[in-house]
Amino acid sequence: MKKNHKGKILNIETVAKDTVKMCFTTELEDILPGQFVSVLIPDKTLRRPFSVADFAVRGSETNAHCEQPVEGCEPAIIQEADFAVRVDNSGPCGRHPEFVSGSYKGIITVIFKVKGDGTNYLKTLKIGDTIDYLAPLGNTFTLAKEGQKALLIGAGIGIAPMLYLKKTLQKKSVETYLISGFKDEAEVVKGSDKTVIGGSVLDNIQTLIDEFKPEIIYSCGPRVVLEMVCDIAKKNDIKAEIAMEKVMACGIGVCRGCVIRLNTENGPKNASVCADGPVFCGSEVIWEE
Amino acid sequence: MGRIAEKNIDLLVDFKKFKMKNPIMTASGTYGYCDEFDVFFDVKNIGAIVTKGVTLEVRSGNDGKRIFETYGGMINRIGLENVGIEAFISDKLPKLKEKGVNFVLNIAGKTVEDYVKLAEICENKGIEAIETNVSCPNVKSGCLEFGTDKNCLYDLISGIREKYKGFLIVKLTPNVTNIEELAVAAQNAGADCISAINTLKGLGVELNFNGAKVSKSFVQGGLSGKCVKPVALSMIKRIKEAITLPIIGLGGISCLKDVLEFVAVGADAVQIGTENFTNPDIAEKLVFELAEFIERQGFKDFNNLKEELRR
Repeated sequence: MKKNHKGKILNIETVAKDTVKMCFTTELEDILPGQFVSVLIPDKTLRRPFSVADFAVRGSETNAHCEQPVEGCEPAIIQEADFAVRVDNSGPCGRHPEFVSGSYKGIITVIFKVKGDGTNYLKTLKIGDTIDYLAPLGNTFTLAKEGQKALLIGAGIGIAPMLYLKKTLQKKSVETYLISGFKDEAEVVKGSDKTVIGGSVLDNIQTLIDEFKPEIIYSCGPRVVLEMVCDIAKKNDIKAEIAMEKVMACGIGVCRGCVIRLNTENGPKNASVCADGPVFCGSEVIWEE
Repeated sequence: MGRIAEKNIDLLVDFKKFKMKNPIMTASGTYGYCDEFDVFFDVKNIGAIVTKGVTLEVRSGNDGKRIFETYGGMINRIGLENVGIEAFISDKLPKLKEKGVNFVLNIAGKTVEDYVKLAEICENKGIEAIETNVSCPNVKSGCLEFGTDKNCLYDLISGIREKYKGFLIVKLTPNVTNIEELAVAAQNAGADCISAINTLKGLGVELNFNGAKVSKSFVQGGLSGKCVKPVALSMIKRIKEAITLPIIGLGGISCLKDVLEFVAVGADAVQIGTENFTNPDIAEKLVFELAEFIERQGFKDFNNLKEELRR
């Protein structure tokens, strides 16, 4: 399967303070929750990895990608040789990108925090611009079974993969509860069942576990939160799967730059976040430092 | 490959003991053991891949941060994480052979004995070409790197040469005052080829401010990428003037223009390193671009281009 792709940006908008949502076309017919894309940034040596926050097959639901209309955005037509996009403000969700032509099969959504050079570049891109990305990269969350209950914990921008996981689990008739936490109101990314503002997303997590009684916990966020999630899961004897982050160079397991340590039956071993992960079983991760 | 075959441009690099269908190779550590790049292109199209450095024992590499992005490049301190020679022979070698990929095995060690043992194994297993990483600390001589002392390097390469009859490449480190004398030492010890340069020593500094509270972290490792290209070119030119062995050039190559510059200063083949991370299909792209360039400009073949570039 080919992994290097070019995609057209269908929508790019600020959805919260310093937080950008970007939807782009893909030749891929599917991409799974937990997997990520690695985007080329001009003049940068390292590509930037982003968790998939949503995926939709072409022609299916588009609402998820454009729930927040951007004020003052005029309908626009972007025309290129083999490709044309019409942005129509009258669609069901305010903005509805409709393709006149183009050979893509699906739409990938990522949500990222604008932090460094890479994300500052990406946020300047416009609808119709092309990005160069590698996908699908990494492994996926193990999906809970039908009828099970899954607790999803997203800390900060860690909510991104949780949104896609939630959607996928719901399709499988898994009962989900997504709790997310943000520093302040302005940073909130929508889509959670409960949002904690200020404080820690884990402040009342025990009560939530006692009431919701999940069979599995999924989480993504800063290392310190993930470590605590794993502790809590262990105490409650619940399986936890966490999506981790580390600076990556190749994104495909070659360079060994993003390695963490795992406990296995045969003793500790290395695992690369990019290829063996980013999703790991919480009980296996050895927390360094 | 069709595109090149159609044009019938001869890109052959003939080192006698080792032949490559074209001069584009991939550098050690940026291509693993060739398990992963199939998703980008047919790896048989490139001249040869150089494997991740293999040691006698399995190595788990360094703890902590291993990668630091810099302006025009990156610093790595992977710490030679690798599967070890035994697993290479049993798991990786059959796959490479099955794929029909032309490869060079990169070897590394802590003592001369380590390298010699590795060389013996390579000889017994019929491995056609090895590249010796001499940027490793020699634990028996106060951890000075093998490749920074001419006598030490001579002893190491002589030891390997005794046990290994195949194509022996010595990968020189640029972290020396006089690279010419190291190249000469390798030549005198019986090396077949020099590759240069390995990474430059570099330090990445990360500072974080939380109000008046500062936290910092350092990544001390090897600098690679576009930013090292002028250093590599300078080193290769100096090496070329000092020895008669063929030279494989590497250090910051990211486009055809870079390849031509390396050939012009003395490289007979080149390796693509860090750019594989940025553009994973770059190696194959360069093969096509080189063939197209030779045809468009009216050179006869790669050797003719090389002669004209060196004139």
